[in-house]
Amino acid sequence: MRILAIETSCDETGVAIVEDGRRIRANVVASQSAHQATGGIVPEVAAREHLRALDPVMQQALRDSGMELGDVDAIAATVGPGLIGALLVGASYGRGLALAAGLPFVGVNHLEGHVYANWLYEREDEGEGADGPTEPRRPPEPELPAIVLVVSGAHSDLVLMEGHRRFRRLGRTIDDAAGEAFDKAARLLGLGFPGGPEIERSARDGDPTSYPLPKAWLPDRYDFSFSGLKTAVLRLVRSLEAKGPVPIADVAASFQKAICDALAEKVARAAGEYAVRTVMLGGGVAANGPLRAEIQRRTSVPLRVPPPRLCTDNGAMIGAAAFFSLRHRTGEIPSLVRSSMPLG
Amino acid sequence: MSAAATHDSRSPTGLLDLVSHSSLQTERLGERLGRAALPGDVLALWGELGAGKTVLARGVAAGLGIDPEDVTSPTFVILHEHPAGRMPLFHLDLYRLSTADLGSTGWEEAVEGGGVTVIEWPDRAGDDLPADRLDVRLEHLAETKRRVVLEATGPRSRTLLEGIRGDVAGA
Repeated sequence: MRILAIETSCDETGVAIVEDGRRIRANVVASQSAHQATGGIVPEVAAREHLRALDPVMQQALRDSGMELGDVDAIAATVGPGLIGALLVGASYGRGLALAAGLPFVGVNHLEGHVYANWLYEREDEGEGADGPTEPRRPPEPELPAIVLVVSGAHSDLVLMEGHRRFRRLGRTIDDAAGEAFDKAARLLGLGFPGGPEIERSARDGDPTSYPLPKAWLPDRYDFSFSGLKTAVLRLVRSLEAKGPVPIADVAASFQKAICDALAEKVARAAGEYAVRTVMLGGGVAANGPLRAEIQRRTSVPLRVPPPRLCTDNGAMIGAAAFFSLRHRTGEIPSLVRSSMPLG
Repeated sequence: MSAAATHDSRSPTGLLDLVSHSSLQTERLGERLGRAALPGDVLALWGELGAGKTVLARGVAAGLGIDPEDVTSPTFVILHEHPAGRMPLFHLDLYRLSTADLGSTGWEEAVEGGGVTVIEWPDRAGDDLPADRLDVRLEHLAETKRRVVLEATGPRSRTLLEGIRGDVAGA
């Protein structure tokens, strides 16, 4: 089954074609550059940019895959969570396309997309056994149950995935999202946007033990809290500024360590408590190298992380999630566009 | 919560100058505001990163009968709607917006939607802010200590401020 999938929940316009929920036939992402001037986002501009970009991005996806719309079996689009105007553009476009082509439309929870990014692969190995060609080998599917950590600019959810589309949220942030904490700390340090990659780069030259910062989690539960850490960085930067130039790399490294420790600690504990077979990451912050290393260090369970291109928002992950929601009709398939939409 | 010594918190002006010694106190102040709020009230929360704006918003939610645990930072999606209380709470965060173009964040609809609207980073809205609103300014004094100045800018917000004045001054 081939699904053409659309992602427009924030400022990435993504269209992909995914086969059987796993194989990427095309995955085109257009980032909106209009926001970079301000370092912020303008919802109306975001929606307008999606509208402008969607058609060419879809045509490019079809060209990349060598397919026509007639070769596709279903249309999917993100219906939440995200910016309401941006979501509306992609979901309406997808619905219209499905209606015109006489295809089913599948609404997808963006967070489910980040989880199912772990099922995607680009090409099958040309299997060559000693006795000649064999069946093409696909990378193995993640084994369930799994602990999934979805961390991005908007989300920090720790989820138990008991089976396909069977999610139970164990913890979440009670204030700021992890990616948001990275963005805000980067701003305090005068680094660029988005903050995650900037902090990671700067932290490479820094000592993570320079400044003790508060733990970013709540004891005895699986929730995170990054707001106190943000305030501590603010106070630290102010007091360092009073003494002279701020050792940016050391502050960045200490901050990054505090975030990674908090996330890795909860992931490792949940993986042990629920005796899972896999730990998976998703979302833009999953691209952070020290986070992956810290989780790997603390747990013996196999860790799956999508390649960076599939950690950030893209259409392919929506196509994967749509496939599994059609195949495993457990749970609700969302259809209305909503700005908040929990996973599990 | 205590009234700052330099100001008379019982003065009949639309001003209340307080000191909060912990985020719990800040949340309690929000809770009182939430309990006293009427449909259509707008609170603008001013203050730098980490000043306690989301903490105060969480208190407002509690005062409206909304589970405060559901209140997280709306920075990324700009608007969170909480319909489950005695009236809806519209929690707006304009941090990521540029001043020049507020656009359709849905925030004007929220203000007219018959609930309570809490706006973080209201400076981004410039002249578009509702004329009659309760300005709440949060300022770092020490690690957990904050100065909180509440100022009414019209008759509606003055009623809200009067609704909590006795409560707070006696606390």
